[in-house]
Amino acid sequence: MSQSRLGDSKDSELLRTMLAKTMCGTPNYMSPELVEGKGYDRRSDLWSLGVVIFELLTLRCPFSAPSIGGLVAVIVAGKIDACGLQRLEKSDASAELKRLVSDDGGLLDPTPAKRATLDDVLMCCPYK
Amino acid sequence: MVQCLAMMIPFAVHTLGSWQQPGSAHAIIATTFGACIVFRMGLHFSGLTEREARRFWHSFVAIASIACPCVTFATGRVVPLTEMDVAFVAFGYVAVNFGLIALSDFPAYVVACLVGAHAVMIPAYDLDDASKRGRVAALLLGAIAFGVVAGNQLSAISGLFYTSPARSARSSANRPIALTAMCEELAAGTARLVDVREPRETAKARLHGALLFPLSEMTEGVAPPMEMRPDGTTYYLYCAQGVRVHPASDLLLRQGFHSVALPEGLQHLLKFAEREPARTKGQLMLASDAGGSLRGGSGSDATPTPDDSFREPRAPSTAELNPGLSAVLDQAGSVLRLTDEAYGEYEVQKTLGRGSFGVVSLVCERSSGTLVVRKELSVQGMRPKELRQAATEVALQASLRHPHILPIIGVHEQPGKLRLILQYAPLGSLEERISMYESSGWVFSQSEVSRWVGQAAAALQYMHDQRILHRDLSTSNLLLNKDDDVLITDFGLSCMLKRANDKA
Repeated sequence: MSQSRLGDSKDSELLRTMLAKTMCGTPNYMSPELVEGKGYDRRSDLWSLGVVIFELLTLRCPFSAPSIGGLVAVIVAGKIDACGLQRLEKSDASAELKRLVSDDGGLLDPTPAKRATLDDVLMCCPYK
Repeated sequence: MVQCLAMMIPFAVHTLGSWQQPGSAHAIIATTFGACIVFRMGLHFSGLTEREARRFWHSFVAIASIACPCVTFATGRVVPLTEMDVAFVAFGYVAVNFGLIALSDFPAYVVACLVGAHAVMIPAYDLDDASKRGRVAALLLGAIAFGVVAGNQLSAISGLFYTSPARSARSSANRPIALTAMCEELAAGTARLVDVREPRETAKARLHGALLFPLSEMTEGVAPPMEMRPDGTTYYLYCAQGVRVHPASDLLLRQGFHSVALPEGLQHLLKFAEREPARTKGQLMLASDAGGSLRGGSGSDATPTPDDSFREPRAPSTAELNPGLSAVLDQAGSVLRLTDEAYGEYEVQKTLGRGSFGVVSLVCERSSGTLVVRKELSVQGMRPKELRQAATEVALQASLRHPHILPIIGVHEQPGKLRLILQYAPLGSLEERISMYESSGWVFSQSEVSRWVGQAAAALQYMHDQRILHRDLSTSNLLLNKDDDVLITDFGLSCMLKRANDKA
């Protein structure tokens, strides 16, 4: 049952929406599984949150490419922008926050199963 | 550390004195300064926060300055002076008292103890020529008085000596600031903002001969007299809440100036406005409009709560205005349907943006003057399936109640049109804030980032607990309310997770 998290028709509908979004020029927040059309679950929201945090820390999108095709490739490969990484390295954010947006066990981990969870986020940035 | 270095000087002088004249009061004074240095060092490395350390330090200095003369008189020791020394001591008195008043951050009681200690020590000076003792005493008292007066004068114009926040807050109560006027000035480029947390900026402004004044919680926005602004620029000094503010403001406040409580986000905006007036003019106006209740500097709440008079939900309609859409909205009990009259209460102020979905405008509720946002979705020619999707978005967002999710105040439906009334987030989106920071070369502080992330994560957790995914989380969908708190919005793609299919 869990295989069909989203029905086929819905999936393609989603992809169409995605494509529309891509045309609008904001695919930067899409997770690798979404880009690959594998469906969407709560971990994809977490990926987007990771991109937001990365941007807050470095003021740069973690994934950027001159073309949409390139962007999709970069996201799927999980290749974080070198300049952004450099800025992250230099920023005075805490080590936990930096780990939270890492591509290995952080929010920007391309493998959904290994990705950090909301509990990890709230552990690092407690809600006040 | 600077204080330790400053204390090294008298410590060295008196140690030398006690070396040359054993048995004199030099030894006591040198011991006092030595103890102060050790105590300050201890505080520095004790792991206490700067604020706690300062509290201990101030009381220690006050006690030490009282104890030193007491011990001197109790032991009957004296300070042997030659006539040459007198000039040196007098000069020292001027410098020390001037520095205490103008340059140190000691509160008034510590300064009083220190000045008093200097005055009290005068009888302990043992002049080699006893006939001149009266004259020497007068000279030294004069030196102290001169130091105090000069220090006060400088502190009043330079802002180096800070008054306590509580005092400024009291003195500045109930003086509404013309925030809009300030924004206009900033937009026109006739005013500048200076952050007191940036010493270099403060110093720069001071060089202009400007009288600075603060703008923050205890914040006094004060227009200095024209002659004090040689270049005709108004300087708005502002700082974060809890930062000590400028004493000169007290002087100016007595002339009838104002105070305002600024949320951090607005401070950022103001700061940004200084560099890019053209880009922020509109936003500043809006922010200052929305901050109507900022006036007076009191803590009154500015949350746009719509008047109860139009909060009467319309009875579920039998005739569907937009097939599919109305049905979903009627089913979702959480959506507040606005009647035509209630909707008529809203007056459009300004178009905020246009998208594929429709027009977003800023509207004002006539009776209360509350600013809200109207999102107009054109549903003309939409297929029932799409209508259902649009209605689902509305129903979803309306069903969510969380401090960090943008609430839907009401929905108004007309044939072919769906209008959402949403809370207004005056401080824009994170996307705007990021581009603002990027172009100005600033970075977010760690505390800001973790506050926002914590709020967004809490809202996401709440949504996920309700089995709702956002699906389109981005910096442009994270808005900032008047308190600079995150509000998640735009559930364009969000969809309810099917319970049965949910595994994650």
